[in-house]
Amino acid sequence: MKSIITIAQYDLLRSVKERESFLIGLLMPALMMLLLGLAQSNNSATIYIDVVDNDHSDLSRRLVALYQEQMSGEDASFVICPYDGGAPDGCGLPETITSSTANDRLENIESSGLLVIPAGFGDALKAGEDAAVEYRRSGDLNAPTLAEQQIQSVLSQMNGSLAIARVTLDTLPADQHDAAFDIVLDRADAAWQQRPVAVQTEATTEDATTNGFNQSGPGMALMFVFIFVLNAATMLVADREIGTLQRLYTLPMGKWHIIAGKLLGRYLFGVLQFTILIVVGTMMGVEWGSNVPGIVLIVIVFTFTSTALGLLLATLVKTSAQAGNIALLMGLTLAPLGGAWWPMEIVPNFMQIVGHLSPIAWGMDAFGELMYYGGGVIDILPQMGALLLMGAIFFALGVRSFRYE
Amino acid sequence: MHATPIIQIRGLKKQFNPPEGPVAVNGIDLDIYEGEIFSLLGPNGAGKTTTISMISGLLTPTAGEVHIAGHSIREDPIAAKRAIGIVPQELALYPTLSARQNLTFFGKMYGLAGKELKQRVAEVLDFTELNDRADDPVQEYSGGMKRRVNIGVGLLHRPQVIMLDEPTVAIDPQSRRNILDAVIELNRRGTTVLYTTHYMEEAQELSHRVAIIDHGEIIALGTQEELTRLVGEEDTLILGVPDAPQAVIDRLAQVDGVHSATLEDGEIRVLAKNGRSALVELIGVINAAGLALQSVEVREPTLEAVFLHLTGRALRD
Amino acid sequence: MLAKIYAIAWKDIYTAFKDRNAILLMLAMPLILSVIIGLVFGSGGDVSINPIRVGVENEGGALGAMMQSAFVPGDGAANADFQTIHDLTDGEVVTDPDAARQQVEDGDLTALITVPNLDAYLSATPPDAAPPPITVYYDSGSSIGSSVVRSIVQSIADGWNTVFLAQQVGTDALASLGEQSGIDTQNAQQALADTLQNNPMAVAQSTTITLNETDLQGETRDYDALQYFAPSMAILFMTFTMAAGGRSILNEQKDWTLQRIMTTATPRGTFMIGKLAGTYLTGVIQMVILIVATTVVAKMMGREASVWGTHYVGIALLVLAVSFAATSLGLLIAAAAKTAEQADAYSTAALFVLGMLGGSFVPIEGLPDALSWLPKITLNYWGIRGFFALAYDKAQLSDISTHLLALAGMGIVLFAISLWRFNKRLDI
Repeated sequence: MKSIITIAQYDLLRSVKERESFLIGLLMPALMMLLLGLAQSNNSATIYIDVVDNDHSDLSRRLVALYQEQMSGEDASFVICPYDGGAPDGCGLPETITSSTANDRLENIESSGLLVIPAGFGDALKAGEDAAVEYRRSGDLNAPTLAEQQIQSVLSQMNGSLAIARVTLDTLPADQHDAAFDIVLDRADAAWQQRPVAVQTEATTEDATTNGFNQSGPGMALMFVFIFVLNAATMLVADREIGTLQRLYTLPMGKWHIIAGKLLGRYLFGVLQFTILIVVGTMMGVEWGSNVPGIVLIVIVFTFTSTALGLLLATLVKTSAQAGNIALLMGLTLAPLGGAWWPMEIVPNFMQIVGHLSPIAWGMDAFGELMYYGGGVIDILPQMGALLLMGAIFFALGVRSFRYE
Repeated sequence: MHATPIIQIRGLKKQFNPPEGPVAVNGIDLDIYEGEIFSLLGPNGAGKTTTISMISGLLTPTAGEVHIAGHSIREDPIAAKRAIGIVPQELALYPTLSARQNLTFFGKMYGLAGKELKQRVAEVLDFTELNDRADDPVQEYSGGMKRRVNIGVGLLHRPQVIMLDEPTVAIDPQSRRNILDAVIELNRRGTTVLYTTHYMEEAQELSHRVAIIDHGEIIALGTQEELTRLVGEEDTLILGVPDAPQAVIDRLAQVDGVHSATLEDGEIRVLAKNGRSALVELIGVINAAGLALQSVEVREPTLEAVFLHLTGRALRD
Repeated sequence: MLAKIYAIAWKDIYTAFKDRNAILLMLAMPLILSVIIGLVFGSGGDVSINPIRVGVENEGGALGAMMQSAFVPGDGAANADFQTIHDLTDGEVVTDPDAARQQVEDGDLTALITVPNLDAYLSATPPDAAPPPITVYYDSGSSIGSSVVRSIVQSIADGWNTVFLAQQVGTDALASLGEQSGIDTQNAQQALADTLQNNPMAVAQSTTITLNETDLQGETRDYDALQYFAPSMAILFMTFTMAAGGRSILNEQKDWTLQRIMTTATPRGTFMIGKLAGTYLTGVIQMVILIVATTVVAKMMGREASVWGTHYVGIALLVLAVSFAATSLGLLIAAAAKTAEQADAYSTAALFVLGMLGGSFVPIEGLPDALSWLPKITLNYWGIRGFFALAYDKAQLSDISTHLLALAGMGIVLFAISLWRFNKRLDI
């Protein structure tokens, strides 16, 4: 046992002495988490939506006003930017607006969406006909989905008012429609302030807001730990290359001791990295769940499985450069496969099953249990069992086929 | 006969990471003349490779100047480099490429092209006797073959001077013989050779002139005769006396005509003017001490003896 | 000089393609990823969602019945109205609400919808009290599925709100209209009440203004994940290959072949340009293979829309520009490092951070305004955006000129700095 600890101790000492790997190993995860947090916590980002009104009717203006009132007011992260030549509105619209201004802004991601109200919009509605508005977006991802929901929901309200107007006007002779239209519409708009049928939502875990960071935080953490720890293989192979491994092998201790010692050092470093990722993630707003023993268990077990896979990798490759590349390859393929880059729920069923070949999938599931279902140690035992089993298989295969020269 | 120095070195100095860093070469002056084989002999770490690197422009000297064929390596490196071929101590080859590919690549780097390039590559393959395996990857060669390719690359552009940096380190005796023969042959064809080594025998066999370098300084320079004259007419006597106490060795040093007596590897090394005549008295001292003399060897003056004489240390590592 | 540059470049490419390890990094890795991404996103343009499991508890009444037929296919005529919802969801009628709640908590149901009986509130004389709300109890672990369910429920509820409000507002409006103009609107009020009573569905589902979602060209299309992730992966991997290319300078130094080249009267600039050219071509070849591979995999998965778009000149120019920027970055990292190991550490760190910032792992949209310029310093950002614009927005050359210029500019500046650094090192 003492020899294991000595080997581990000197390996760690060597890591610390290599300033770069130490720096990369500890600072980089923190930096990545920080960047990701800044990008995904979404609290200070402003989403601009441009509105071009080609109709200039009472009804089109009514719709624009409704958007401003409902979206800018309700959620400060949206700013509605009407192209009406009005007062500066913090949208950064240029002095002169040309026909391509709105599209350019959209293309340059200065705005996230563009709402176009076509000419004839108001007339069609007044005549009791259907109309359409166009919502243009470039292929941008996070914010626009939210924006679209809001755009649609405001439009539903307008549709509701119009439906009320229609069904009411239908009861009157045609010559009274014009006079009644505005009266009914005004009242209908006002009435929407209090929806009679309310929808009340309740999440299984109230304290876990399903923001993007709660998905990508654990995903990125698991991926980084996985890649870093897998990289331990490069160190084992490098030791073989420079001959220190062979020298250890000539000493009077078991093969198992050498491997355990070598891995223990890397394992502890991996646990440290994982801890840093979790701490920085928490500071940036990831809600890992309130069950600390559960988190600790995931850290301990997931790092073990990754380390064991690193050992197996070291037995399969010849050079440390190769080991580094394969570690990267495995990390960057098993991470998306295991649901670290996008939620598993969006992939086809068979890919969900295939994905669980990746240890990262089990890690994600375990974090999900803690984060969304208020789970504890007991609830994540199945996932931990799967990870331990994988780790044991990797470890057994690794020890069996480990070569010393 | 050696009128023009083809390599002229003045006050050459290299200090790594000045001002506190180690001084690897400390003020060297050398003239190497056209047509000679010049050896730079010294133990490992004496500054041989650093000197070669400065001559070939890889390291910038802290002070001093190097001229090759009249061109300053500092001011006109391109012209200076054209005149030299270098064979580094490391196997500076691409292991996955064949000998022919390596030669062709470096030939292009020397500015060779077309027919001329093809012809030179063929010549070098001939000279290094690698024709049979010319198209196998270098990584599949034996150590000696790799060394030959390594030398071949330095010959491609028919340089006026070829510099070989310890070309025989870590290879078998037969390959070593091949390399030494090749160096002699090259010189016979008119190439000036600058050869660094820590093997006294190689310097002794090959060189017209030898510079002995130690701790970054030239401590002796001249033809072999000139250098051995430094130790006078002294011979080295090697006396096989097991377990000789220091008192006896001190007494041996007192013998008339003896310059020094040291114990090395269980043998007593005695430097003496006219060794054979001193031998009788030396044997007398050993007998008087009641010790058994198991073997006696008398060696004529060598570079080894010169080094020992100058530094008090053996040349070997 | 050109001959030397060509010789160095050729030697690098030749050795790269002879080296199994390099092949692995260059081709096998991205190919495997292309297949994964193709399998996940390839089948359609949009993210394919598995049916969302929904439980509907109807406490009686018309709204509950409607909610039920929205989520649970029956044999009524309503099926046709809710076909889109039926395609997305897998609904069941809940009779044991407690068990259903437990299922949501276990992640077996995405959401449980409970609809109270609101019929009394629709009658001619609605009770004074506000109607009880519809509740949606959802699984926090299923962020996408549950948000789809919530928005469907909200829209159905708003349909009913329309009916409720029409009752109140319409009646009020008709009454005040009667007072103003002296016309008797009693009949109209009765007619309104009858319509709402007899055919509430028509009012609830009335959509006067439709929302057409379009792309920049005004064409209707959904967000296409493959068109984003294919270039982001390709570029990420290419940067790793390019860093390895830059690192080969340091390996040549270790093996002394660099020193040997330096003794052959070859200027340092020539050597660096040769390295640039060799690594660059490797990068271009890798990108081309990736583009072809992802296209083929997506085709095999039955995808019809093009992954990379059809503006071949634009694609080619972007490949050239992004590879150039990546090559220069690789050389710069190598020039800044002293040993290959150091360069390895630097490049891993730099490429992960740049990949993260540039949106190679997850799209980065929400940086605070003060930091919104950050992604723009990465080549990943400009490359991904450029390819995406070509594929998704069907952009023209003029639209991606900024991207091309930014990438070329990065390439030139980074190469200049790396050349300067390399020249500044006196000793090799």
